[in-house]
Amino acid sequence: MDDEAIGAYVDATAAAIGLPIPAGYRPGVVDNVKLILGQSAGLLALKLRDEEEVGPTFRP
Amino acid sequence: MTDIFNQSALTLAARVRTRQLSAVETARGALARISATDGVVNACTQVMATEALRDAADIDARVARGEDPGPLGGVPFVVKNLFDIAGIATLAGARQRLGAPAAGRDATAVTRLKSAGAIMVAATNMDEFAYGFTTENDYFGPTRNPRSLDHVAGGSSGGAAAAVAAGMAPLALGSDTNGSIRIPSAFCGVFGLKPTFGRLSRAGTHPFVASLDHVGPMARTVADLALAYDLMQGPDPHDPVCAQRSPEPVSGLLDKEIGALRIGVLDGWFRQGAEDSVLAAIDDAARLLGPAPRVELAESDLARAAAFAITASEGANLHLERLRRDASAFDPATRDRLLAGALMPAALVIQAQRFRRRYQATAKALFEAFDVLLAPAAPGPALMLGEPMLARARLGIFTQPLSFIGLPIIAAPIPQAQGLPVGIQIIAAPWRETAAFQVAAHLERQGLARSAVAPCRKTPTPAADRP
Repeated sequence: MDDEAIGAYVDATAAAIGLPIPAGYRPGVVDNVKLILGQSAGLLALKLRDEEEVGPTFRP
Repeated sequence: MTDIFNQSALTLAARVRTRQLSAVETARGALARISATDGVVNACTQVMATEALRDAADIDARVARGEDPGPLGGVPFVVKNLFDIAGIATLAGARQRLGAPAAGRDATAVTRLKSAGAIMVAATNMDEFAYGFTTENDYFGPTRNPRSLDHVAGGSSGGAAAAVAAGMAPLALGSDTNGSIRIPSAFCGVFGLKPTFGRLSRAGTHPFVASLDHVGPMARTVADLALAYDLMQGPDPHDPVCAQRSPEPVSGLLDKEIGALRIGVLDGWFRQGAEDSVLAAIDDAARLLGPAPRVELAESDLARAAAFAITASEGANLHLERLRRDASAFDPATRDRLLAGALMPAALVIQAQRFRRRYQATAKALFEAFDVLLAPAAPGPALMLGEPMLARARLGIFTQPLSFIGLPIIAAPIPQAQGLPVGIQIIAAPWRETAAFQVAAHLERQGLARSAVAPCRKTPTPAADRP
């Protein structure tokens, strides 16, 4: 995604979860979203097997 | 007589037990060292002089009555300020927590060290909410590296590591989510243990990323590190992650020969981007440990990305309400990252958590052929103060994949002929801390891995100041 698309994602997601992003912080937030999504591309593309489940720690 | 601040925890405890030294003298020695050095180092956020001298007098009274003061009787220690200390607010490095209610009781790890007779002397500085690798805290100021004051101490347990390196105390408690014990231990030239995920209770510590948080000790000798670790082991009903495992003490096993241990050196991801001095330290260690072939831990790049994404997302959710209310109350170094973390798509975060199981299986297969693996702690020695955020975040490239799957790891300091020390990670299979301790003790006996009190001067420590 380019900066504009990430900016739009930031604005829409922030609105969806009710998180105000002050204008002065928005460029830094966009940079960080870009960083995380960028370095996660390989992880997102990975085909996990169905039995590779989340490791739970919740013990009722 | 050697100054109190140079002595190991074991030495101080032995001298207090045999009445060569009083606990009040050791506490005064620690407080005097803090007074002499913390003006430049800035490791401590709160010095507990009154409480320390009161606790020390209690230890002396026990010794006077002929009672055993405990294995750490009269030994000073410091704690990262995300551990609860009864009677004061747990800051977790955050300005916005200055007015938080005082903790009602000590964290479990603190309680266990105090029960062994240790004297808490100070709470120490950290990156805000533990989200950082340099302890350049905007409100409390940066902690400076006692071995070179122009450099960072590492983080987020930077105050704790710096206090041990500066001789303020022989022991410290820190926490490690992505490298926050190992990076500052490496940068400050002390030993640090990040135990197996779930080995030590986190009860009474301010959380950061519940699925990745660990606590552990830091010290200047392997024997001190082992003793502190042994004393903190055991189940705790107050931490749901803490394992139902009986203590498996390592202190009596440090002299055991390492001949039977199969050692490997992590290749690929764990050598890319590391400075020559760090790679040389790994290779020196490998030579002292016998045959140590290079081995790959596949998909470690993805493990680092996964830990990074989980950290951003879970850390942000912990603080979501506070971010909604007033993002400006956060440290500029954490604020934008937390805001970004709150916006991560579920597809990524769940994928990252599922990948944890896959990477765990990959590591497990590797540990069928190896007992201990070596890797750099950080890409190089400590950064200068004031480096940009991207350089700071990169410090965790070698630590993040390994804490992601909860492996027990000792960060061991390797002093350099010139300049600052580097650190190596001594990595064992889950629940096999003993193997990591035996290798660390061997490298210490061989003189490769070692620590000493730093003089707290502005230039890097010259060779003459090292043992």
